Amino acid sequence: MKNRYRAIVETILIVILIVVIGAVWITASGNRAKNEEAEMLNQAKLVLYEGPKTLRDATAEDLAAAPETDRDFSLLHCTDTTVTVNGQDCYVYDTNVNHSRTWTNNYLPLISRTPVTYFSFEGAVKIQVTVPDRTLDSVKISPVSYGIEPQIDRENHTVTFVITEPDTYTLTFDGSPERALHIFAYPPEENTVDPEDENVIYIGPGEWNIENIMLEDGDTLYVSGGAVVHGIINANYAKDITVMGRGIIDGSQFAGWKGVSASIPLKFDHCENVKISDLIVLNANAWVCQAFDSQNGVIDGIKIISPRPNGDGITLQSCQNYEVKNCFVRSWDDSLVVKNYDGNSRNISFTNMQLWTDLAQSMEVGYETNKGEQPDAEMSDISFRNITVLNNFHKPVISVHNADDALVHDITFENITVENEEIGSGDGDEMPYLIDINIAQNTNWSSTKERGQIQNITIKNVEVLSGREVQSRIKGFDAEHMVDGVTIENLKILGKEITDFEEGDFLIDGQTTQNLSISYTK
Amino acid sequence: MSKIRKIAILVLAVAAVVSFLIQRENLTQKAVTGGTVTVVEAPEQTEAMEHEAFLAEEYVSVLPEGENLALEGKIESSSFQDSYTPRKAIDGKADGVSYWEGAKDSYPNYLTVNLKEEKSFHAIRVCLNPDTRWGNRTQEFSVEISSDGENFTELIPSAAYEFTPDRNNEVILEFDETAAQYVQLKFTSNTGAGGGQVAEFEIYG
Repeated sequence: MKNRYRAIVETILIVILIVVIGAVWITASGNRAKNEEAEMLNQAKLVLYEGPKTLRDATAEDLAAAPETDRDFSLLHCTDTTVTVNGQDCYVYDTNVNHSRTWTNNYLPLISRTPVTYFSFEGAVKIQVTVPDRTLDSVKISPVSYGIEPQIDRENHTVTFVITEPDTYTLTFDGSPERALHIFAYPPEENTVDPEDENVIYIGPGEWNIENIMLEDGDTLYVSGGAVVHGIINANYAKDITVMGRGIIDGSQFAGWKGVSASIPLKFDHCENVKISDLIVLNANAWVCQAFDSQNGVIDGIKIISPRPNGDGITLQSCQNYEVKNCFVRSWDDSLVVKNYDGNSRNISFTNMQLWTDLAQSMEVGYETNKGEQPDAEMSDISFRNITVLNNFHKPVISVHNADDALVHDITFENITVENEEIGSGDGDEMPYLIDINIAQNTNWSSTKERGQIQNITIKNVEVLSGREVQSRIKGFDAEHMVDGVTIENLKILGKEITDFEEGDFLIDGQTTQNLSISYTK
Repeated sequence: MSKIRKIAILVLAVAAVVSFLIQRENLTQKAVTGGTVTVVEAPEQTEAMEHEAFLAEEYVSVLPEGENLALEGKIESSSFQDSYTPRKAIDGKADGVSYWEGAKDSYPNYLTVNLKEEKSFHAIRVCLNPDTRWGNRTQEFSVEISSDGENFTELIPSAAYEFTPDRNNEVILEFDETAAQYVQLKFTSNTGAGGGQVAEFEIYG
């Protein structure tokens, strides 16, 4: 009896110990992730930038889609979207964007608005976004590759999530691109400057009218976070220039260029060794970041949102040895484009970029490949790698277009994720292709009488996550002007692994192309 | 069996203690304090301001006395780039793309005004588009004159002239009253383009 009693006690003790051990591990594992997150949040170093006190609060009237001539086009303080970072208010700007998908000959398309905010951090930060006008039926946080699943409080209209990686995050609400929130979450600033440093042109926080900042040899320009500069920055025949800082270059005070007077926010022509980093460029009156006939340049981490006609994001014209990386480009014309306007384009790389292309193409080589009508024109060694296309609404995502007599060769597109495409929208139906490789004679873009060639195009690891089923095209001009050598590997469209050209719905002109291959090897 | 149970109790007790020690960090949720926050503050402003680093001294352009004789003359150049023909240098317009530019890398570039007959003059104004987008540049040129359009003599020796939008992008050269039918600029360098550039070539007499 005594032994039986002891056995019962011992058994109960064993059970209790097992339960205790289980409880310890279950509780601990439940808390571990939260505590790790809390630890990172507690170690976070956050830098917030107050917006200028002079920007007007946006009203409902400001948010109406209208031609730029019919409403105040200014950069404004956003009022329908608020953001906190680790519980601190983060200033939100309201800037112009363009959702129309058809070219307008009068240069006056309907312009909409969208919220933008930014800060710098290290560690982890908890972001809470409040959007009272949204039902929050769905929230997509791009890049989707981070797999961020936010807490959504529909009653209080809040979206809360934690980020640990500095990057650009875009929140798309209720499946609509309208009033998507762009968050530029910068890493800590490595090279802050002393405002008193005589070797630096320093622009501090606040709202400034500086019509043109003309830089010369050896200049360093620093535009502080919190600054809004109404003006442009450029250099001509200059070298060894650095442009840095997290301020905003705003072009809203300029009327649209209408094909006549472009005020290019970042324009560096005939330059050598120019480095541009981190700036935010909004509301350009035409295209945004131009380098022409320039060498050995670096464009790193700039953010571009352009709403107006011919609003190309980054355009490199007859440049050599250019490195473009870590940028965000949302544009109402080609997001990234390389052209030959005079000399040859060579050794140009675009890496780790996020694109949102409201109109035209995301990554374009061409059409102008010899506008300067130079002998032996070439465009070569141009690469686009690790690119996330959040949206591409109009024309091809990937395009090599040769409308002149240049030899265009060794162009690479690799590790491209297209989160969403609606190719062929509006008048994009004139070129409704995902990939377009084409030698053309075009009244708009051709300068030379002779046609050129396209050789050695590599397209590797491209995935389209959502969108329309669209075709692609590979087409030369004639038997003497061919597309020669296109290798496509690991193309996946809407979940379908593409193993041959027919499956990928490619239009191929057999008379003007040769050495084409496609495979899926993953 | 009792011995086995006792060993099990001992092992489990040790395991419970070890588990507690291993997981003690995670048995309670840590409070979130949010780390350090730095706020870059905005200055007190009531409207967008000019920035002191970019304020230029006030400059008032004063045209030379007399009339611009070049407007009634003819003009030609040794070369021109793209659509920037010499005619644009005497059309009375300095804005937009109304300017002459010598062909790239073809120095010296000559820009010659034919006044149609010998005329007397005392000043030359050479200007570029005054828009700030044009930025600063230095052009090196001399002024030559001729009565037959073939044999030129030097009126003003070659010198480097700075063109800056801060001073209306203009260079005014004044000299003793001089008579000639042909007045020529001879460009040998330009830090802002591949050839000489002139939006207006004005000759005052």
